[in-house]
Amino acid sequence: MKAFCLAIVLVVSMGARDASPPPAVVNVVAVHATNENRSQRHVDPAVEKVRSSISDIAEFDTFRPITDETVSAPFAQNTRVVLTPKYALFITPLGTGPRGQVRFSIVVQQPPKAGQSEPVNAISTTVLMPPDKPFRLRGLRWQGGELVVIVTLRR
Amino acid sequence: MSEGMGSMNKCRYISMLERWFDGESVEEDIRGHVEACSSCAAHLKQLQALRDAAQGVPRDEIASAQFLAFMAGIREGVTAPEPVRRPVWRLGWMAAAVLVLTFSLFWTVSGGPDAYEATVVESCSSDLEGATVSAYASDDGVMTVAVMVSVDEDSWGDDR
Repeated sequence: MKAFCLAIVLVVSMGARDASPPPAVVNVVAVHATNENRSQRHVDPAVEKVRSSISDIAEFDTFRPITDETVSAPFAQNTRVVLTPKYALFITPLGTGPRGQVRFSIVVQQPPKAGQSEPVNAISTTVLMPPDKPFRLRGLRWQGGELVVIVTLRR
Repeated sequence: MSEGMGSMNKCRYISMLERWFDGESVEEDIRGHVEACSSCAAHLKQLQALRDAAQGVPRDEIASAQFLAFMAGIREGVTAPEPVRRPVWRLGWMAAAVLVLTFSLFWTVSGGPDAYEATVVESCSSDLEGATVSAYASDDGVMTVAVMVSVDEDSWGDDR
């Protein structure tokens, strides 16, 4: 009888372990937006897939790729994506929504300034993100322009 | 002289003979005609033989108990209410109505497709000095978190 109960406990615990959601697959694209006084807007073919996510950015005329990385982010764990030497993105799946959404903590961090020891959170946000809908971070200064980060949850 | 046609079953009295044989009253003297007409006499003989043979067949009689049950069954079939039969198209309309109602309830509860298809920003902040953070959706519906920093804050030497 004891062995039977032990077996039930093992099966239930294994089932509970299997019930934890699988890692979230996230695509992170970083685009360097600059103003080069072009007569025509230039979007590098390498960032063509996020063209619709940057089409409304009018203050810059040139868009070049910096990072395009797809990561598998386990739940409740930080997954780091290095964007530039200045910026790193930390993405942490916190939970799931009722229709396939995933709640993420997303932090873009800068290394500590001179004389300081702690990195700085340039942006820290929590979002509930449905699959295949791009989410965008803006305003991160980078080499005379701006770093635009597009984060998309894959199914 | 015979009034018949002279050949078997061709006599014009044949049909009258058959009615007479069945008991109907006829205007002619059939019995007298049969005596004179060999064709009708032969036909009458056949009819009589057929009747005799039919009467020899045993009859199944319905017992009174069976008859009562039989009549009761008929009466039940006549007086019982006709089963309600819903036409197929009516069931189709009912199914469509249920679907519309279900979808409407789902739509109402969920707030429509945009309610879950859009990214929801639950919080946003920045530790940069003098920075302001805002969340908005672009014209294309891309949810955005943007940080606005002062020029002085952008003091990392390697970014320009």
